[in-house]
Amino acid sequence: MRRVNRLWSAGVSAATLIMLVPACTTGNSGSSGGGGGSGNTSNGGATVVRTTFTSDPKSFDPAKGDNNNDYMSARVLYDTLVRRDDGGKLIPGIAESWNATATTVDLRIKSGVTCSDGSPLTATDVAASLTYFAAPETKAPAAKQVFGTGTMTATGDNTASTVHIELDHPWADMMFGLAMPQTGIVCAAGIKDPAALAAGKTPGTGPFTLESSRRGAGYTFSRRTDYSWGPIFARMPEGRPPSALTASVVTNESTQANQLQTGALDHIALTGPDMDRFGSDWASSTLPGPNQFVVFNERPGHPGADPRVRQAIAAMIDRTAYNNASTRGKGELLTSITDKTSPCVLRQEYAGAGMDKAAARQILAGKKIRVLGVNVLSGGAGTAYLQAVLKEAGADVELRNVGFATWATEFIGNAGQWDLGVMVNINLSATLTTPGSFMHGDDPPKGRNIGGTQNPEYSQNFLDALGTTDTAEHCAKWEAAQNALITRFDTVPLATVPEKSIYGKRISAVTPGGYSDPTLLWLKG
Amino acid sequence: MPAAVLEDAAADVGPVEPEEPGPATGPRRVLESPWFGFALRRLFGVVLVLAVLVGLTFCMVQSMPGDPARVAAGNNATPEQITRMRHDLGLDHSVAAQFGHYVGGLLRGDLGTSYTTEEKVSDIIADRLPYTSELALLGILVVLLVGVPLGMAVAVACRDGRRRHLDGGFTLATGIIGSTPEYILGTLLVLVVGIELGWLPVAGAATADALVLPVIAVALGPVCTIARIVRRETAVVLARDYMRAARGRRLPAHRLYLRHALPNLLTGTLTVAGLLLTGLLGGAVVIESVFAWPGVGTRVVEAVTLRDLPVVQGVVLVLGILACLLNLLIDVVLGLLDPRTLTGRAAS
Repeated sequence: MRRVNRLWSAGVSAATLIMLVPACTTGNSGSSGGGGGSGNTSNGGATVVRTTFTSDPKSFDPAKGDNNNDYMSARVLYDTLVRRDDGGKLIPGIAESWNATATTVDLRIKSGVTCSDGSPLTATDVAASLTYFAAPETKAPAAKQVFGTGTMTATGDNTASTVHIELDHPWADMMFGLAMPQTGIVCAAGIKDPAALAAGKTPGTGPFTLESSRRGAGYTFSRRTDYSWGPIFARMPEGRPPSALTASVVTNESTQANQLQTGALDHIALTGPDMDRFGSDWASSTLPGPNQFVVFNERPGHPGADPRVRQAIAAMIDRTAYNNASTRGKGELLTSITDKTSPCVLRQEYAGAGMDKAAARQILAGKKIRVLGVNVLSGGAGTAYLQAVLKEAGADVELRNVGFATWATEFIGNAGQWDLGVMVNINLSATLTTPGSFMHGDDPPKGRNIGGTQNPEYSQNFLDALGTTDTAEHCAKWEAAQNALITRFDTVPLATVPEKSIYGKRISAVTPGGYSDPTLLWLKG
Repeated sequence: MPAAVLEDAAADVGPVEPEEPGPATGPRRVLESPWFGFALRRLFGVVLVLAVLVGLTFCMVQSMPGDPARVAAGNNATPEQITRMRHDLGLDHSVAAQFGHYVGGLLRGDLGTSYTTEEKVSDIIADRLPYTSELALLGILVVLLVGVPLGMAVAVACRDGRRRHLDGGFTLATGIIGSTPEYILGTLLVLVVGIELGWLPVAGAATADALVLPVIAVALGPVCTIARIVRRETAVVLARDYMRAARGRRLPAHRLYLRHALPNLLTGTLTVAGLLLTGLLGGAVVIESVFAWPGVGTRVVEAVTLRDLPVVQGVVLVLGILACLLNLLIDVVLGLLDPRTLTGRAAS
């Protein structure tokens, strides 16, 4: 009898322990606080806007950013020197004015800009931040997108509040690069202590500070009361900025949609079918998102080495049907290798391959074509469509839709066996240079030329475009470069993968330049 | 039948089992104790399992396609950046050297550093595992508190072929619910309870009530499984002579079922519950995703996608150790309930 009683006592104790242990562990976020409140709209009496991260930011060091969550947190914590407005126009950020050539930029820093610890931001601080960003040991993924392939030198003059940037190779896109969130200006304390910078524990230059974080759950950012140097876009949200911003970590788009519908969130961004749950009674913005275009493996021995085969494949592709397969028709058909938010992109519609399907079938009959796709985009439905039309043309098609890591390795790194692939490019710099660099130069691993494209006319115009900041000349060169790619069938422009930003009833938001910015989620009224 | 239960039941209704020979003393007592052999076997088993786990985990992540350095460096990275990343991550060493480094780190208690976030893997697990444990432990508590009484109640109500419609309905309902994938159950709960009725949060971990739906979602299927097992076991126990004798003595129902029937069900129930708990710790990935629950499952899926090998290895290893410890705990509890299990003789 006593033994049974002991067992029951032990059982009850264990059950109590089971109840208590989690309460002691997850209920307490320790020093990191409890970010990501999902249900409350007030934070100690302050008014909060609630949005989402699809995963934890990799780092709060803006230079380390390489995904959308990183970019969002960088925008919240750090301001950039300039910002991009609608039509690709650059507007002042921390810099009030600038003068740029293909190799130099001179910027004047706004007065009154401070770090969140109250210390004034000086021109030498800005130069140091840019130097830190460009340094190879920082391993900033976007460093070459911003400053090109050469060496960058930045110097600051505190008396004149000016910063001088000099490149040893021309890079006309530098000013657009300086609008990217990865170039957010870091204060001196952050450069001195990169570990604290990565943890979001050093002062920033942006409108918010990180108040609390709970990895995997959410983050809370508090708005600085002394922030007054923010960019003025052509369109600004109505109402007022929130005093706090929370970002819950929600990976699943259906869950995000559920939370918005039940009022637990104020803003979500969707790319999948859940966007159809939100009709016209919901305020929303559709942003272009990643761009898709065909890349041929043009190296000897591959079918794509023959321009007639590339032309025939282009002729078989119905871009509208591809768009229906890959984005349920929600994407926008591209005219070139990026969308129309980028300056100098071709405005005329894609003219097609100039070959009828009967001729294309004759060329493709019996050709062995290996298609490589990525399954994160509609499960690879777009490349499945390509397989179907090429099979219908009589080609012997092998399709592999692989995970992102394999795709990045085998396709972008050209480490796999493939003849045709679809590039899905997130073009945050919104320049033609970012996607264009995948069609030029050395093969991987030495260079970034995915398909081994050898198009001298394109390459020359690409380099010429980077050598001039004269807008007309820059765009003329880019127009020639894009036409050279398309007429030689080095690519087939496909479609964007649109992202729909949807807002709760109390939110007013704008998306200047076609990009979502959490600092522009304001409260109505 | 467990000896403890026989002993207790005998006090009320049955004959007393003969006393076992007196125990040995001193070191001989320890060596002859069934617990000594049990501890030795289990210790060897745990070490073996961990060694196999370390080797298999390393081989598994090495064989995953995709270049972790390229993924960590980002799509727009230059070749120089990728080469530097590969060097920094130690991926330019031979596989044998990488394995040696990995095992050396483990022996120092170092699970490594995430390729993508540069966090310590031990910190990631420390952040995430409490959430997963909370979900799994509360889930299994619900399973035991609902499944066992439910199964017993149905078995008692349907004893000796009574109330066949109830028995049929119970079998049908538990069969349907138990075989429904948890992501469907989770989604239905969200739609009905969260969105339509608005009673509970549909996701998140910020408030205590956010736990309710995910716990129900993970527990519902196992509740049905346990209830069916308990219902069957109870029917067998109720047919035993000592239970008939107990009923003949008109013992109160609570004494009859809780004191005499329930302990006899615990062996099988705890064994299954232990397996379910192990499964919940490692397999609540879908529910974590549906409810935005920041557990270890969603993190490891993300790590697999990004070829974040140290995170995958670390999480698998820690979950493996937990599974070993849980099995060990269950074996100890079963040993206390029925000492014959210590020597490998199953209870009848």
